[in-house]
Formats: sequence, structure tokens, C-alpha cells
Amino acid sequence: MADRSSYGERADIAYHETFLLHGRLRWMKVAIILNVAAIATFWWANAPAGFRLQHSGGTPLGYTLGTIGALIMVWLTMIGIRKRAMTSGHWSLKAWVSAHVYLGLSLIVLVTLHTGFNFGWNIHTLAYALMWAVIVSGIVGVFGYVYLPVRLSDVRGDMTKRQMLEIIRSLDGRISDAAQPLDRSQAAAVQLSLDKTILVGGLFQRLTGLYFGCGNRRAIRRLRRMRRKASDAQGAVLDRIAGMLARKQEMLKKVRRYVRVRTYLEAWLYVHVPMTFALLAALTAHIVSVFFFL
Amino acid sequence: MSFTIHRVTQRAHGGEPIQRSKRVEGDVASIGRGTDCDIQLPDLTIGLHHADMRITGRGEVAVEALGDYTFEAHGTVVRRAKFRVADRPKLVFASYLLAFGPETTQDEVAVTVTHASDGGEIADQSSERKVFSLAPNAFGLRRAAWLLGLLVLAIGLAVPVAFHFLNLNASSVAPQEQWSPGPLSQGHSFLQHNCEACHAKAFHAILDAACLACHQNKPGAKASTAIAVRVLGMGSLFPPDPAQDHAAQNLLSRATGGAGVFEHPAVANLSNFMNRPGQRCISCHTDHVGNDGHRMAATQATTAETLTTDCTSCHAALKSRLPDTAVLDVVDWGQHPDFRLLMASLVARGRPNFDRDSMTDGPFDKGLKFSHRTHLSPTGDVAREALENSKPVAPDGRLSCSACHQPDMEGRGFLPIEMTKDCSACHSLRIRGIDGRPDTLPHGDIAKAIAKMRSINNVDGDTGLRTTRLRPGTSEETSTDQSLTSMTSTVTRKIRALFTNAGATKGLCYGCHAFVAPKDPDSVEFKVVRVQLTNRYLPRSGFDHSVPAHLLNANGKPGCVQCHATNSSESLSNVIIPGISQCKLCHGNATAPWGEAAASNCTECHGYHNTGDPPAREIYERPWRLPPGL
Repeated sequence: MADRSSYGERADIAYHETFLLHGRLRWMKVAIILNVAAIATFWWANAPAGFRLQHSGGTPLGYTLGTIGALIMVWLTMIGIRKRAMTSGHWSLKAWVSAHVYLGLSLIVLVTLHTGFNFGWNIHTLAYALMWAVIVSGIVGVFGYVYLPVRLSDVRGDMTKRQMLEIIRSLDGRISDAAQPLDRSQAAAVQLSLDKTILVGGLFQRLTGLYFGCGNRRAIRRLRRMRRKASDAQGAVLDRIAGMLARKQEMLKKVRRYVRVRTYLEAWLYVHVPMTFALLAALTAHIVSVFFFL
Repeated sequence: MSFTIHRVTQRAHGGEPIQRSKRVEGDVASIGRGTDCDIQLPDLTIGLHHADMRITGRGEVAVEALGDYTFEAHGTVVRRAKFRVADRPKLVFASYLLAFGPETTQDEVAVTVTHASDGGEIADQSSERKVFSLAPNAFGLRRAAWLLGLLVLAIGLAVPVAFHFLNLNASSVAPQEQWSPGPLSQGHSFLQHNCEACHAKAFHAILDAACLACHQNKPGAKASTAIAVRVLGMGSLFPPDPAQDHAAQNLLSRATGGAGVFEHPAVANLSNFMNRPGQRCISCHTDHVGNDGHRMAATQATTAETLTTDCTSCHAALKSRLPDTAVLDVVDWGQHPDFRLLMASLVARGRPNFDRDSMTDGPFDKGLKFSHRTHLSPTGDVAREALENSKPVAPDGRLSCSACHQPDMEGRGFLPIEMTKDCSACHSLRIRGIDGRPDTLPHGDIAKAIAKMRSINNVDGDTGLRTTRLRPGTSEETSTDQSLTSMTSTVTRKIRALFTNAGATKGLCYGCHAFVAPKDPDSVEFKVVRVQLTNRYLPRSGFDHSVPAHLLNANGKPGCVQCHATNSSESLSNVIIPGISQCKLCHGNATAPWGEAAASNCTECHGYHNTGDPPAREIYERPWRLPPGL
């Protein structure tokens, strides 16, 4: 396989293997071995002493765990550089992401043992909390990458992103054309759909799917009330417009569902990356401070 | 008169705009959304018939909105406007712009209609990205990351370091505190905002000098006061306790040497290299963990480490590292050597002197004729006298231990035995005084007792001592010495009888004390054999009498004699301190009658800085009481 891949063919042509299952869970095994070894050593070092864990981060074992944890953290951040360079085989990006995920998860055990379960309102616990923020956002990201891309194409169906937007735009034009004979208040209602429609909204709306006050919905409701009082000629126009507003609503739902999935796929990074930087800074402050005030 | 209306439409994909013109005859033209209007503006915010424009004169036009419709002229919202065409005015109707201008003939007015927001393309590349991707809508990921990282670095690192090096320690803000891994112990809490008090030098571990700056042992009165003043000035509520070291520093470093990987010399060297040498005060006294890590009182008593491993890491094979040591090796409680009494003499004011480390076998207590067996017999004179003198008695009728042994103020042992307090109730020093009235001999000074005897007997008329006046400048003693020679044989006989085993007073003093008799049969120069009573036989252990279980016998009933074999103690030299086997009946014995082994940790009996002050011991504030019946 490796030979074939070196000639530029896909090494994994026979099947698709996700980064989670890469190399028969090689990195998961590495992480588990690392954690079991850490727990065993921790037990061996502390059990005879009755687990007196105050300042256990400053014991030789504590330094060892801390150093390993810090090195792993620094390596994990290298994925930001690594993903922009192309390699293959054992050091393919997939292998790298697999290691990133499993070694990142192994930090939960390594670093928690390093803390000796001592927490407080200080820079040290801040670093620990930031680590959790990075890991949890990373877990969200992993779940997103595993489950969401399928849903993404499901939602979109056989339409392209541009097609979805074009349909809404052309509906807007047709609604506007159709509404020309309407009187002032009816026209104002239709205008709500044209002006006040919230296509996908901000981050909150993208994530929650809550679009209260969307102009299209308000236009639909308002026209429904007006329809009862309208004359026959106006009623025919209003019915046509209502039909188009309903179709626009359907298309809006589709776009929003799609965008919601896309947002989930991207939003975790907005926690993961800044928190990683904050973590590296807090880690630096943690390391310097413990040696500054030995 | 007429209007010429030019309609300009932008092409959908750019290029030359399309212009269509039409002529409206007459001096009035209508503006609105309706198809019947002369200028039709297909915008839903515009009324079906929104406004009329009218040529009012040569080159003059008036525009008037119908109903409550409005439009914009000269940047303001108006309902009517009148203007000269030559000024080329522009009117805004919702999204449409109407530009007026003169046409070729003076009677004609040109109106150019353009749509303001033409050419908008929702589905262009940038808006598509904006709709579907989060990035253009959220904060810049990279900038946010860098900002957050630099912020943490500045607040968490740069500011505290700056405060340290700029010596801004006295300010009300202490950014270094965010480095503190936890609260200081109660005793050190006044230093919470004063990191540099202990962390004197950056990147150097706290050395013992920093601790001893306050906790110096035996500093001397002057230095002690200076330290107290300084520490109280720093905000402490009490002066620091001087710390006595467990052993000399060189002995400590020679005696240590663990077995584990982390005690390996390579690790020790690494520790030194990292400016963290071992065998420092803070090797044990880890602060910043509240009161948990500060090994002062019972707080550490529950962990096995301090209790056994810490001590035995040196003491299990101490002899091999310190061949000259007098201390025996102790591997564990099971192999703890039996007790060796460290005798101390009662030298002054009832305070035992422990300076001598003699570890020899007895006899220890000297100078008194005393038998515990006789005193604690349920029958006989002592028991009878105890009842007569209403002294406390045990249920079996014997004299209670508490009749003589008084609990001390520290709540651990007993006050030193004092004759006047503990013996005199029965061992009365009463004698017949002047005129047969009862009198008491003073205790503790032979000369005074002899003087008392002389004065009583002189008044009786047996001697002429009283007639001898003291001359100015002469002391009573010298006069007594002089008078001794003139004493009658009766007085001498009475006095001698006090110190010997025969005579009228039945050897009042002799009953308990041993004396060295003078060679001259007429002399009363008796010398008492010095009484030597040890108050604490095992000063390097902190046995606590007040522990309730320590006062019970095997049946759970109060019983001192459970441990102290009083029945076999015929004389004072027969020390009735129990051996370690007595302790092992409960401590570390899982098969004890009550089914549970009492603790057998080192710190149950021993302390580190003061071996006789075990950390497991409770801190007492009141004297303890012996329960009745002991």
C-alpha cells in the first residue's frame, strides 16, 4: 500500500477510514498506554504516602507529568501549521489529526494527575480550565466532523448553495412584481418580506434556528389577515403573493438548516483556537511563575 | 406644455444602461406605483397614485404628494415642493430618483427616472460566502486568538514579574497573588499579600534562612524581642514559635538516604540544579495549602506517610549511616525497641532538667522510703487513714491514685509530687507545741525544723535559750550555732529522734526520708539524702494520660494499675513505667478485645522538632481531670 501511495495513487483506495479509526486506532492505543502508565506511576508514587497531594505538581513525578503534558500541548498546537503542509503515509494529515485527537484527550488524565487535584482561583487553575475549554470544544469539533457533513448534503439535496439563494432572490422579484397593484397597507405588508427577511442571521440565530421577527413570516401572517377583508380582485393577487411567500419560507428553512449545520462545523473552532492561544499563554505564565517563586 | 420622461435602467450584468423616453402632454403628470400613472415607480412603499407634478409657469414645476404620502426634496421629507427646472433639482421617491432639467424647448420639462439600488446581486460570490460561512460574520479568529493569548500573558506573567522587579510590593494591588497556588496556613496568613517575605529571590527556592529569620531557635532574649516586634509589625497576631531542629544539619543529611527512584542521587542533583535542594524546612512545611500542609498539630495525623514512611526512611537503618548514634533502629511499630527510661533530675523549682541524655538502667528515683504496694493496698493503715482523712478511695477500698497524683496543666501527665500538697494530709508533721498546743514542723529545711523544735522546747523551760538575747549584728543562725553547744541533752534527744528510728516522736522525718547521721552522738547535724523524683520518664515520647482509653483497664473500667504494676513496686527505685508490650495490647493489635487496633503511627507518640510532642496529640487549653475511682 505504501509503495502504491508513493507513486501518487490513493493508498486507501479500497475503503475510507476516518481519522478516528486511523491506523487501527494506533493513537488511541498510544494515549491509553500513556494514561494507564501515568495512573500506575501516580498510584505507585503516592499510595504509600496516603495520597498527600498538596504540591504534588512539584514532586519529581509532578514535574514529569507536567513536562509531558506541556510538550503534548505545544505539539497539538502545531496542527495549525501542519495542516497547511502536505505529507502522506504515517505522517499524513489524517494520522496527524488522529494523534491530535487522542493525545489531546490523554491530557485530561495526564494534566489532572499533574494538578494533584488542587484547584483554586489562580493562574495554575486558569491554565487547567482553559485546557478543558480547548478539549471540550475539540470534542464538539470531532463529533461535528464525524456526523455533520452527511447531514449537510442531506439538507442541501440536489441544489447548490448558489441555487438556493437564487431561488429566494427570484421569488423576491416575482413577489415585488406581483404586489404592484396592491394598496398601501397591503404593499407595506409585502414589503416586510422583501426588506425585513432575516436570511440566516447572526451567530445566535444560526446556532439556535430561532428567527423571531423574520419579515417573511410577518408578511405571511399580515397578508392572511388582510385576505379576509380584500376585494375579489385584490384577493386573487394576495393569494398569488401568499403562495410565493410560502415558497420563500420553505426555501429560507432549507438555507437556514444548511447554514446551521455549517455553523456548527465552524463555531467550535471559534472556541478551540482562541482558547488554545490563551492556554499557551497561561501555561507559560504557570511554568514561569512556579519557578519564579520556587 | 409637456413632460419628457427618460427612464434609465441598469443592465443586470453591467454594460450600458438602457434608456427609454416617453412624452406626456399637458401640464400635469401623475407619479405612483399604479400602471395608470405617467411615471410608474414599481416600489411597494410608493402609493398607487403617490403624487402629481404640475408645470406652474415658464420653467417652474410644483410637485404635490396626495393624501399623507411624502417624498424627499433637497434632503428633507416634504409633501409638496416648488422649484425652477433650470436649477436641476432632484426628488427621491422611495428607491427612485427623479432628476428634473430643461428640455430643448422652454415649454418642456425633462424628468430622468433612475432606480437607486439597481445592480444589486444577492447571490454574488461575497454575499454567498457571508451567508454560508461563519467567518465573515464572527470576530477574526486569528486576531482574537492572538489578543486573548497576549492578554493572558500580560496579566498572568508580565505584570507580576514587573511588580516583583520594580519592588511594588507595598501597593494595595498584588498581582503576584494570582500565582499563589492556595491560601497560606493560618499562622502565615498575615503574609498572604507579602510574597517576597518568603520568596526572597526569583528562581530560587525558599531556603531555611527565610524561615529562620522568624523561627530561629533559642535566639536569646534581645533577638527574640526584636523578632517578635518585627513579626507583629508585619501583621501577625502572635510572635513566631522558635523551631528546634530534629537533629544537627550534618546528622540529618548523613542519616537520610531513601530507596525510591526519586531519592536517587541523580534526582537529588537535579533538584539542586533546579535550585530546589532537599532537606529544607519547606521539604516538610509545604505552605499554600491552607491549614492542611502545615504540619503543626493533628492535621497530618491521618496520612500514613508522615506517620511511618517519613520517619523510618532514616530510622529503619540509622545505625548503618550513623554508627555513633545512641538511638536504636526502628523498622516499624512491631519491631519498636522497648522503652529506655531517660532520667531527668528535679533540679530547680520543680522543672526537670533533660540536658543529660543518659540512658542507663536504674535505680532512678532516690531518697524516699516509699512503697506503691503499701500505699495502694486495699487493707491496712493506708486504706484506713485514707478513709479517716476523707481522701479519695478506689471501689476496692484502697487509696485512690488521684489522692497523690494531680493532673498537670498541659493535660498530658501529672504535676510533680510535692510533700505539703500530696503527702501531708496523712503524713502529718504535727507535733506538740508550746503549752501542749498542736504545732507543725516546717518541711523542706532541716535547719528550720530544728529551730522550731528548739523554740518549742525552750518555752517549755527545758533550756535557757530564750534568755539569750541576740546582739546587734549577729544572726539567728550563728546564735543558734553558739547555742547548740549549750543545748540540754533533752532537746538534742528530741531533735535526733526526728531523724532516727527511735524516740518519742517515732522518727517523724525518718519515716519517709533517709538521713546521714552526724558522728557525734550529741550533734543534730543530720543531712537528708536528696530526694530525686523523675516527673517524665519518657520525655521523647508524648504519652497522653488524658486519652480516655489510656485510663481504662482490660474490662473497660478505670484502672491505672492496668499498666502501672503498683503491686510489685516495693520501693521508690522500682520504677513502674510499663514496657512497650503494654502499649501493644491495643496499639497495632487488631486482635484487641474491642476488635479494633489503636493507631500505631510514629506520630502517635513522637514529634519531629520536639520528639516528645506528637503532632497527633490534641492541643489542650485546660488541665485534664482524672475520673473518680482511679
